[in-house]
Amino acid sequence: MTGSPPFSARVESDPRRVVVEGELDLASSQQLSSLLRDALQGEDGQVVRFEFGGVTFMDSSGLASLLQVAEAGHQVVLCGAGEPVRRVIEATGLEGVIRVEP
Amino acid sequence: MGNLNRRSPAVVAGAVTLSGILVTLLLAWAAATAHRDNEDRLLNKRAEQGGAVLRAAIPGIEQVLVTTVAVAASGEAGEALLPETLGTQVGPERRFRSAAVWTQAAGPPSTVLGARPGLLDRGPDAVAAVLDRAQQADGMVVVDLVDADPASLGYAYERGGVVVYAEQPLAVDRTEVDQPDAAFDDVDYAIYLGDRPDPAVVLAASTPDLPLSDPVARTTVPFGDTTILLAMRPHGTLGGALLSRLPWLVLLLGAANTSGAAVVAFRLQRRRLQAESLAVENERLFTEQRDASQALQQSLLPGDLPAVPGVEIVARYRTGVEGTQVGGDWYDALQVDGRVVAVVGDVSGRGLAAVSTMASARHTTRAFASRGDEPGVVLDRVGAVERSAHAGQFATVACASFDPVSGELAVALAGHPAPIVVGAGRAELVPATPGPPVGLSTFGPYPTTRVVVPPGGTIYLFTDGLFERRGQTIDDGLDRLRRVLVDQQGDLATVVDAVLHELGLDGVADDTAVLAIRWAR
Repeated sequence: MTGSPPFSARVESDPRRVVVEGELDLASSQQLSSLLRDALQGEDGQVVRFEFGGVTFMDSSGLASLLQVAEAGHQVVLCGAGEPVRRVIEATGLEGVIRVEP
Repeated sequence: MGNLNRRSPAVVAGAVTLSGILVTLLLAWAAATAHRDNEDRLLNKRAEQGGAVLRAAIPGIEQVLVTTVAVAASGEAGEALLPETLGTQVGPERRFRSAAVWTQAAGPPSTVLGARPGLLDRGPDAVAAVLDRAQQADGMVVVDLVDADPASLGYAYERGGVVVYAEQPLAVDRTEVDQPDAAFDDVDYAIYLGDRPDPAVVLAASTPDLPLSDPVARTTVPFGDTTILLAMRPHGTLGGALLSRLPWLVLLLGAANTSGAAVVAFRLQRRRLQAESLAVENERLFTEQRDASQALQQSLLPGDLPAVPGVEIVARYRTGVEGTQVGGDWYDALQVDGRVVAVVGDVSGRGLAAVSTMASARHTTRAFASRGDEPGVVLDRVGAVERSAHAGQFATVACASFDPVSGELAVALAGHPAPIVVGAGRAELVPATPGPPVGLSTFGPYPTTRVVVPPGGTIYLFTDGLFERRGQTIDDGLDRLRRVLVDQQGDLATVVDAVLHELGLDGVADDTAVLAIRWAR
């Protein structure tokens, strides 16, 4: 066993910016979700930029974390996402929900 | 060692109490022993001090006699001086009651000062014995006149044939002598002539209760040709109240601490047992909920797939290992106007909420699919109905409609991977463009894509558990899946099982649903 894969996330305010690194699987997505819930509580209509340059893997639970932010009324913008993440967005038909920027 | 972990709180509290009592008794015993040793030591010290006081008093008596002998030995002139020398010490309220001087070794005294010496009442033999003892002794001899009236001690000293004798009265009530010295007011004492604590020869005592009862310290002091025995016992405690009460304090505090510790141990153990039973209960509830979710999920999957002429349908469901909650994958198949409508979906999240969302999405999809609309229209309607219905939960859905007469396959996708068509030596993803998952606030559009399945070809619909692997891109996973699918030969059920086996589904995190339709033509 190698333990949990590397994962870290931090939320910066003004402008709302979330720096995520590592692998977004079921366990780390739950961490990310609760972090985002706390950070964005009571806010709406924000543009939330996710710095995804350091994300090497994202499964459907990671996607769910992002969609929860979008469903809460925020505009989700993914910045610097690598090919694996971009393909997930594309394959799930979410280009209209999650804006992908270089 | 016995295992205390699961003992009842009362047993643990009892064990703590027992060990507390043992420790307390041990400490109390140690304190009592220390106290007793200390008292013994202090009492012996006191007796030594008393002995030293007595010892210091004795030379005063002897010195008077020695000086008097020297004066008397200087002849008649010296003897004439006796009233002015020894005489000053003799009389009522003085040191001696009476005194006598013998210039011959026998017979009556040549000089008597003060009252008639009690010794003379004892007869000539007794007098001769004292004179003889005085001649034999190196120093002063002590004459026991304790039983005389008044009780007295006689002291005789001889030098050069001259004997000086003086009698000292003892206290009238010898056993209630005032404590002259505050230094000894914490002890009772008795002073005896000789070396035995014989009440008949007590010279002075602070109490009539003789001999003294234990604890008693004794010391002897040389007294002329005999000794004085000093016995002492404490009134109370010499070492102070704290030390004497220490054993009781230890017992009291020990009892308080022990009962306190017992109460704490009782509560801790009770809480621990409560926590343990709570954990067991949680585990049970957790398992129960998982079992319930699994049962619900299984009940939501179609028991029998429809028998549609011209096609063979096989479906499989594998539960993933990640977490302990079931996922929300599902498959469904129905026959509509001679076509096979197949649906595979995947709800985000896990557990009971995911399963109930899945139930909703599955039934909505089935209801719209049964109306005969093309897949894109079905998903549009499902998207509209499910829109924001599940508080952040969403479902990806692949909806396919196959016509076993023409071989036409129509596909629409809501955030879901496209089906793979295997046939004619190829395995190709249906090139459908996915719309967003259903259940979100935005939905559609869901374009319908049509392809033609080669005769004998197989359509695979699946959820992402089949190909998604950590560290692999979607495309890598799908490429691998296509390679595995294209190689399979034989009976469809065998093929599907072989595919699941080859893809190493055992131990895969996510739940996986697969539905395969083979065109039997």
